[in-house]
Amino acid sequence: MVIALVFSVITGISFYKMRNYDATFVVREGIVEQTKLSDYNPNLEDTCGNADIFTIDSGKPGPSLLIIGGTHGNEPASQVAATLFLENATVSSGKVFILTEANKCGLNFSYPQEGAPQTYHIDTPFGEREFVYGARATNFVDQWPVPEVYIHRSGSKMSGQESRNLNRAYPGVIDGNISERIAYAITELVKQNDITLTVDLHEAAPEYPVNNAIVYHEKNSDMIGQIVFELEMKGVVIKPESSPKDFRGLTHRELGDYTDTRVFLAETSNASQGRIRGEMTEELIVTGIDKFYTKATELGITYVDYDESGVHLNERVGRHVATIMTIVDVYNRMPEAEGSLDINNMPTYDEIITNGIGNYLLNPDE
Amino acid sequence: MEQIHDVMERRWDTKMLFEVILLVLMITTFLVCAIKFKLPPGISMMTSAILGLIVYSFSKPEIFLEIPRHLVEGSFAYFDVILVIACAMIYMKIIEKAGTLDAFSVLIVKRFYKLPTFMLIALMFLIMFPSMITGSSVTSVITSGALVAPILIALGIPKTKTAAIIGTGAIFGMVAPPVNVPVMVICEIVDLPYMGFEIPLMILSFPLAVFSVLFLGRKYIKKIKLEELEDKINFNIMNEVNGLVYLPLILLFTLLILVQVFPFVIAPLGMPLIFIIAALPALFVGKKQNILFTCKNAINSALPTMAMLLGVGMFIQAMTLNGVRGAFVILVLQLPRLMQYVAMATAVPIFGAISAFASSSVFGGPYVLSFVIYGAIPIASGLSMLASIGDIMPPIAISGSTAARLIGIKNYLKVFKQMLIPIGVIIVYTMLYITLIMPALS
Repeated sequence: MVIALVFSVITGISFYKMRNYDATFVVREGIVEQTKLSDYNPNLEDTCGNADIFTIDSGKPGPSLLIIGGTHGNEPASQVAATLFLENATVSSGKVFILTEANKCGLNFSYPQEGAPQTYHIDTPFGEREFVYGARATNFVDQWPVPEVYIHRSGSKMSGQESRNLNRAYPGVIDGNISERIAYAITELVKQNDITLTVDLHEAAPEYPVNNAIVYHEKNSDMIGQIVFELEMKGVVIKPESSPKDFRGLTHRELGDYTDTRVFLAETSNASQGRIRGEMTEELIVTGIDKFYTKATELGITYVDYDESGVHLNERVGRHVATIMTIVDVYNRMPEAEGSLDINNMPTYDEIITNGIGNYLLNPDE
Repeated sequence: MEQIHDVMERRWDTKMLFEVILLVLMITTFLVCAIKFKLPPGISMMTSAILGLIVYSFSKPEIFLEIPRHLVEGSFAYFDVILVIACAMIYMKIIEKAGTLDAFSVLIVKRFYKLPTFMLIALMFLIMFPSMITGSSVTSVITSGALVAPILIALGIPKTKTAAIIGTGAIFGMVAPPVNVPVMVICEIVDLPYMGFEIPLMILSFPLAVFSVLFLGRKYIKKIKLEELEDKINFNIMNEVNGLVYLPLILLFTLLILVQVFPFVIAPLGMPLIFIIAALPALFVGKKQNILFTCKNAINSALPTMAMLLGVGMFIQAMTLNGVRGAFVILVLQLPRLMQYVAMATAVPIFGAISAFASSSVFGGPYVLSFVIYGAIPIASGLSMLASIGDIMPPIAISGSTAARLIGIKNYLKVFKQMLIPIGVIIVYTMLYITLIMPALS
């Protein structure tokens, strides 16, 4: 009983700290405005799902962009890439909306049986900056019970655990479960602001077929070829994947169908969320070095080549940043574009690889 | 230890040695605790997990203080399952005391005793039904399995074979359409919509279900004489209760179906609440009972299974954190091509013994990719069957051991022995299904 009590206290403190972890992002005064998802769905008020929406508005008319980071808490390149935009970008024409913690309820716990560390650290000139490593799903403390089978509003059936996956909940339900409410708020954010471009950032296990890829809704077929070409010119080889019509609940399908935005979903390769990986450490999250994935590549069972140098977070974040910037560039040249969206001060793919992401993160303590 | 770890990292041949040593250590610890010291499986698993983490922390000291967090976190994976088992056991004990089980046995036997083969097959599909609609094999064991068990025993089928029929029926229900959660898990991994699986899953599960129930039970019920059953079945039960005694059963199946058919109308009640709601009428319509005593009995019966699940959760968390899971998977996947078939037929069920869903999740992606020449749907369906065998594989055998416990058999190995031939047939048929039957049909 005493041992059980000691365990309860130690683990209780650990779980409590993570559940109440408040990530600090640097909001540059006069450049970034801050609103909440509850502005678009009041049912998120006082819930873990009430994430911040950061807006960088040039004040000049032009296209707008929504960057969705942090949908899945165990896909760090998504959140870090969004953070890089939040802390670096300036906009001289048009408007940029940024979500760094799209599903905050997936960033306040660790998924059982993944053995994940609760945080990871990125080297910066001012020391280490801490980020939280969460879960793919909404915390079951916030969304329970989990049905055996999740039936999406379209009638599509998925395993019950997917009911806690924000990226299976779109277009969302105003008073549905917490994941559906968040999805509804994001859909409304897109609709009410008439957002021109949406890029949802993700990572995938190396054995997942949609990897180092960009998934596009069919209405973006006129852009995708140019995007892929221009990314290759920048050294980023990326696979275009058309959004499957039968795969429901995802941003690239539902936001494309239910709103006027041109939506893309970008995937990079992350060994730490894979099922073949070895020991689960902070180093793995950041460096992507995993001996078992190196072996798995030799065996031909990964969709991304893993050698002994791994796939570093610098590269994954660099890919995301380059992908977003290229999508914007290509759109600006589309005949339909009314004005242009001009995002400045963002590092290039090569600069991120060379200098490291830490050089582009600001110090939250200053 | 840190130096040994570093040395092992230098060459691929020895790189995995550290994880292999940990794997052997964890399995040995489990076996020693369970066999030599006769500790319950849950405690043995927990001990193994703790040792696996402590030894791992020699090379990663920062993990040491995190060990309590990892143990508790791992066990939380089964929080829902534990609640379901506890509530289902309460439901079963309440309706048993109320006389519902006796009344149901009388109803079935009187209607079908002249058609024993048909009755056996029909009872098998009745066992499968709850798993077919919920995707969980344990649900079948503790609902329709518990209903059917007294009938099979009364008909003269030995208890061990009765438990084997229920255990295998539950996994066939888990695989059969419309809901196959392991396939859904694989679909998520390989980016495949869960569509077009109905007929392939029927071809996979229905013949095996018919074979298994006839193989295990047919020889005991060639001819049924009602008068010979009088001391086994309480034919007078309907004098003590009325037709309302079926209300808990009707309510349970109605709720199970309604939440699936009208997911947007009926709030997600969750299985535990469904069991509790369905048990309530039994307190008013059946024989009188002491509810607190019944609940206490139910929880006592369920405790060993619940404790085992906690231990399993810790074990998986430990082997995921220290790299043992990855080592196990890579060891299996790097076998020569021909051996891959053997490995698939054995490793997936063995890993499934920890969790059928975990096995699908770990092996689903690599195997669908490796054997994609046979088509994604057949390979995903076949893998789900192989992974589901894990639910009757010792030491955990969540469905098998629950069925055994339900019938009052303490040593699950006696039940497992009865299942060996059906398991062999399942594996052979599944491999033929993947490599020959489905390619021929398509």
